[in-house]
Amino acid sequence: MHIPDGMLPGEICAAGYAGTAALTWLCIKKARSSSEDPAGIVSRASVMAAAFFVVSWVHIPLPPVSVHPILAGLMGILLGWISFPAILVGLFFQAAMFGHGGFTTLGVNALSMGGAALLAWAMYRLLRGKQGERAILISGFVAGFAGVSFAVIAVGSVLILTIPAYIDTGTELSAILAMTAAHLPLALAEGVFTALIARFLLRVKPDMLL
Amino acid sequence: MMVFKNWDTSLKIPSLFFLMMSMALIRDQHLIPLLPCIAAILFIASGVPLSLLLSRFRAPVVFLLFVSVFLILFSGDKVLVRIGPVVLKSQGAVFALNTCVRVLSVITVGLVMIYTTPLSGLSGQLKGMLIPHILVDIGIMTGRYIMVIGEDYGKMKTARKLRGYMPGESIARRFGVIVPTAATLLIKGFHQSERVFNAMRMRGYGSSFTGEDRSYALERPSCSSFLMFLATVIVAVLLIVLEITVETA
Repeated sequence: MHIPDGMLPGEICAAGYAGTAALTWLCIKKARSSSEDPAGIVSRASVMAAAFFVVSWVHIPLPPVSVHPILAGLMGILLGWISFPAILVGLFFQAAMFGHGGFTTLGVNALSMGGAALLAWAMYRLLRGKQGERAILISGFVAGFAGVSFAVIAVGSVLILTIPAYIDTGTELSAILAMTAAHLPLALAEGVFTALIARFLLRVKPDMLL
Repeated sequence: MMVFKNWDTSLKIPSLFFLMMSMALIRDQHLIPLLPCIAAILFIASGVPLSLLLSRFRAPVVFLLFVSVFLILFSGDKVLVRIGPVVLKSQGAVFALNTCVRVLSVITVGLVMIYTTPLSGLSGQLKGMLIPHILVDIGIMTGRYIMVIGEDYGKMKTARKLRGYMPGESIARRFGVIVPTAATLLIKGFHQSERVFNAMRMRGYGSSFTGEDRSYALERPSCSSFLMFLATVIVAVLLIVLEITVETA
């Protein structure tokens, strides 16, 4: 799901960095206006980013294989505005430690994954409404599903639309649709995973849910 | 190797990053062979182990395979080979080859950049390079807590096995095991973040954001560092100029 170095043209990478810088500034500003304490932002974002990094090593069963969760939706519903800088830092570590993604494409990857987290958080807040388990299961599922779907559509669109090759528009659209369809089982599995974790947190530690 | 280790971080990171960006700009097939040459020179000079480089290629290879198959099947009109109903395009094959060479070259330069940069003092250098303090601090603490929470996860897995909790065959049973594990890790992380928050406040963290903080001002780089910076930037600019020239011609 992460776009590696060298895949995108330099101007797209630069635009990705510009967008990421603007969104990071906005998210930190929004987070500071709500908590008013930089220590709170740094501690919550860093430790939770590390926890998410480790949780992404857990395999979700998706017969006949198992996959690593992306966790964009879950990060959104637990961290809110801070999810974007936390994902940015997490992506940097993934690029530096494992070679997933890249340094030139960090901005674009952060925009797609972090944007997915913010979108998932918005949908979760819209749907949650009541405090019951049923509401949390539905909104958690939608957040997890939307997080993966948005990230896949964003990555697929950027990738296919910026490859400078002689490909007609119809084929490009079909490729984006095919890529999204191929990730549908992953989105469903992540939706279930996010819903069950949200329900677990509601029972055990409800103040973690924003 | 020593040349790269002694290269001032505040000059090395921006110059190599600029080189990576300029390499990513190259689309002309006549200029593509320059990219692996540049990457090979940097790789040999840096002393990065070959095994590490090969391990870095593992993740993007799957991605490249997907993109290459797509390009060979759908890009261009000229037919290269026809195998039954499948038509392989020659333009697509050239695009795929160029993309693979460019991606692997840029990844090599990125590996050289990160592998030869000492972590000690990196935070100060990044803060001096106008990266927001909050972001650098989040990065440093994330790196530290990945190790701590990773160890916790290892212990939880061992304890789970010793108590007889195995994932089992059915999907419901597997979710029944992995969901509490993942959620417990998140709760542990949340508690840890509260302790870290209290410790940071006790130490007066945050005061540097309001006042003018000059403690991260960059030191004057050495002459050799500046020469390497200049050489790298010249190569990067040359690549961009060549690409524009070839494109307009």
